[in-house]
This record gives sequence, structure tokens and C-alpha cells, in this order.
Amino acid sequence: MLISTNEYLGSLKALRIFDARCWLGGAPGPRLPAEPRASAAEDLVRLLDRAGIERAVVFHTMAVHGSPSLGNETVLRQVAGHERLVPGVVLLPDEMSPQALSVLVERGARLASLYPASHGFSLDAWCSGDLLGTLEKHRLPVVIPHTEAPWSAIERLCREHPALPVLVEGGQEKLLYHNRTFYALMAQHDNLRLLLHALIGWRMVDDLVNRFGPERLVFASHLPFQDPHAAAGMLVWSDMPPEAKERIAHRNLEALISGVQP
Amino acid sequence: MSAAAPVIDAHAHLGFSSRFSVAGGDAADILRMMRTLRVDMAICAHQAELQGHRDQAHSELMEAFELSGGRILAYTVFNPWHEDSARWVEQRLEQGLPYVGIKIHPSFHQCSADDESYRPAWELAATRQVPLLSHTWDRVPHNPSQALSFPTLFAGWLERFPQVAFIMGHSGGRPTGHLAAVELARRFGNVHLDLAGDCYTWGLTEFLVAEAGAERVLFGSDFNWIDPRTHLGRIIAADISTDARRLILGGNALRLFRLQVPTEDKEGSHGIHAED
Repeated sequence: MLISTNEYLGSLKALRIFDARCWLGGAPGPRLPAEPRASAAEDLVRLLDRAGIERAVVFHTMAVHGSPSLGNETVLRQVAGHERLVPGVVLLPDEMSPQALSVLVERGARLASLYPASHGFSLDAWCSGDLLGTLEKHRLPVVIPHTEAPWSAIERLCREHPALPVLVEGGQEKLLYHNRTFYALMAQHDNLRLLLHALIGWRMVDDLVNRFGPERLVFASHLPFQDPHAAAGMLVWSDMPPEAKERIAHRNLEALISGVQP
Repeated sequence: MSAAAPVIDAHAHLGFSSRFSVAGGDAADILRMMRTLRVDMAICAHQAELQGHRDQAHSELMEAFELSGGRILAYTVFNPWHEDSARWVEQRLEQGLPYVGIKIHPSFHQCSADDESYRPAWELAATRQVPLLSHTWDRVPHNPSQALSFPTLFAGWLERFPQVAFIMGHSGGRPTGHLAAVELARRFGNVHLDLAGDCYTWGLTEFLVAEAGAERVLFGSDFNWIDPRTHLGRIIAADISTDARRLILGGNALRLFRLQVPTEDKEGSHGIHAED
């Protein structure tokens, strides 16, 4: 496999990537001068072009570090009218009635995300049962960073809500050291899926495809905080069949989103 | 323009850690990946040597060197807690190939990078004229031992050993560490920075090139922990010049380690194209 920069970018674009995890807004931690940022939807579209990514689900950092309701409102307004951008929302169990969630879905939200550790709540039924039940009713896929909940809580979530697609990711802390745990979970719960940018271990993506099939992985980059070519490189240079690459690049996320119920 | 540039992974591993399982990852599997990606050479620290099982590491490194036709090279590991570590390292360097450098890991060995016990490693790197690679990282709350490898802790050694080609593995690991690493690179002309590990901040490659110069940035993957395709993707797509990309992918390692790329193997010619 000989590949140049142009060949690589061409191969990447041909995958028609639909990214499940991109961000608007800044973050509270230190940053490098060369780090790109997206404060408006137009910025993000330019970054997607630069990265060779066709479409993206977009969350707002304000929804994680500040107010979920304000962050969600901001992202819903900002991406409105941008065909390549789909809004994602961050939810709290005590601030999200079934009616309010239905409104978010009506307004276009197609992925949800939960931060139990950062936002101080439990994923258990006695705390989040109503919210999780409503998410399951809508088939609204939920993204959870593995640093935000114990694996045992994620296992219960998958078991108690089998119709709810659960997408686990890594954020800044990748899934390298947890594979004995999440491989076991993947074997037991078909509704568990993993986001690609977290799976940076040696041949991990190919191994997961061989064991569980390509339908269990979803492309995500964590752009603009993480280099999208880390995740993309694993896909472009994999020797998995083209149809498996297509599934991971965009078809799996398209299927999840089309399954969302009003 | 399509001339192939050598691709040299200057920060890799053989052997395994008990912390997680690896799909494949032995020397034969590593060679398969290197051939697929056209990585010409890789310089590996063996996990067993880091863990203190030196004979096992040495045996497997020799086997990998033979199996690869000289493409898999080695760092020998200096352990500050082992009284005979300097003698061990010196013997490996006297032997020569596959040993082309020294590795230290202050976080894994639980000994701060500025501790005087590292003196033999710096002295050997100076007298033997081989690069010294250290793990470097940021101060992170979930892993306190990483603070033992914070870049500024190396400043004293760099003042005393300006002749040592020093490689800051992971370039400080996370943003505050990256900023400290490039500050050291500005102060000391013998500091080099590698891209190995799970340090995927977008713009890091461009930042290191802008602040330290392309001739001081190295491709490293941290395989067989990390998938090297993650690093090749970010280097191939980085917003840097073709010449800078060639230096990072292999030109710098070729110069620092005084390497000669083995001739074509039976699988075909080598070289990711560093072209626009």
C-alpha cells in the first residue's frame, strides 16, 4: 500500500464520513496555539471540509461544562439550516421531562449524551430510570464517555434498556486499558456500540469488526479537540472489506438516526 | 514529485503489558503491519526490559532483528533502581545492532526524571553517542506518577549534557506538557519531540513544527500499544510542507540514529510518499 497525502485524502473523502461526535464551543483546559476551534456552525463546516468529513452530529461544549439547556439551545439554533450538521443534546435526569425530550427530537436532535460523573447523577433506575425509559421509547441513541460512569452501570443500562442504542466513547482518555471489560460487554449486549476515536489500540478496530461485526462501530473524531485523522487513518488503511468500511464511516450512524422515533 | 521518503517509527514497543489484551502484536504481526504501511524501520523498547526481565527482552529483540532483516531495532532500558543497570546498558551498546539508543521511563519506574540516579544513562548516551529517549507526560490527576516525567524536570540534565540527542517521548503527553516540551526545545538545541502515544490534539504536529522546527520532530507510534495508523494519518494530513513531512516520517530518525534503511524486502519497495 503506497499512499501519498493526496491519495490518503482522496480515500478518506470517498468514505463519505458521517461523524458522530463533533463540537462547537471552547473548553476550559489549556490549549495549543495551533488548535482549531469552532465557535459557529460556519467554523465547523470549514473544519469538516479541511478534515474531509462530509457530515457530523454536533454537540456544544457549553452543554457539558456549563448549562445543558443553554448549550442544547445554542447548538439547535446554530446548526439549523446547515444540511451537513445534525444537533446532539446533553441531558440531565432532573431537567428533562418526556414532553421536553419530545420537543428536542421534533427540533432535530438525533443523538443524546450523558455525563453522570461530571453532572453529579447516577445512571441507576432510581435516579435516571424515567429519562432512560423515554430515550428508549424514542430510540434516541445515547453517547456516554467511559470516564463518566462505571462499566457496571453501563452494563445495567444496556441490559435494562435493550432497545436503546448505547454508544460508548473515550474523550481524552481512550479505551486502551479497558478492552477486557468492554469486549465482554460487547459480547453480551447487542445495543452497545463504540465510537471509533476511542479505539486506538493495536489493531483494535479490525479485531472488533472480526469479533462483533462492523455494525457495532460508529465513526467519531471528537473534532476539533482531537485530530480527525487519528480515527480516519485506522479506517482508510484497514484491510477490512469496503462494505464494512462504509458501514463504520456513515451507514451505521445513518441507520441509528433514521431509527429515532418522534 | 513522487520520490519515496523513508518511514521510521522512532518510538515503539515489543512485548506485552498485563494491563490490557492485544490482538496479535508479536514481532511477526508487527512486521506485517510495517509492510502494509510501508514503515521501513522501527526502534522498540521491550516491555519485558522495562519490567526488569532483561534476558527475555534481549532474546526476543535479537529474534525480531533477525526476523525483520534488520528493520526492527532496539532501545536498551536504563532502570534507576537496578545497581547494575549501567553495566547492562553499556554491554548492549557495545554489542551494537539492534541496539541504537537508550530509553528511560520515570513514570513507570517511579523515579523522578531529575533524580541523580539517572546520571549513568545520560553519561552513556554522551560517551556512546546514541540518542536518549524518555517518556514525558503532563501532570494529570488520574495518574499521579505521570508528574515524574514532566518536561521541565529534564532541564538540569540538558544543561549538563548538551551533546546528547534527547527525545521527549510523547512531547509532554497533554497540552500543558506540550507547551513545556516546546519551551525546553527552544532553550536546548539537543531536544527532539516525538508524536507517539494517545496525544491526538488537533494541530499538535503543526504546533511542534512551528515552535521547534521540523528537523526536531519525529514519527513515533507507541505500537504495539497504539495503532500506528492513527499517527500516520495525522502526519500525512498535517498542514505542513512536504519537506517537513519527510523529515518527521523518517529523515530525522535516519540522521539522529545514523541509520541505513535495509534494501527492499521480498514484499516490495518501501516508502509512504511524502508528497502533496
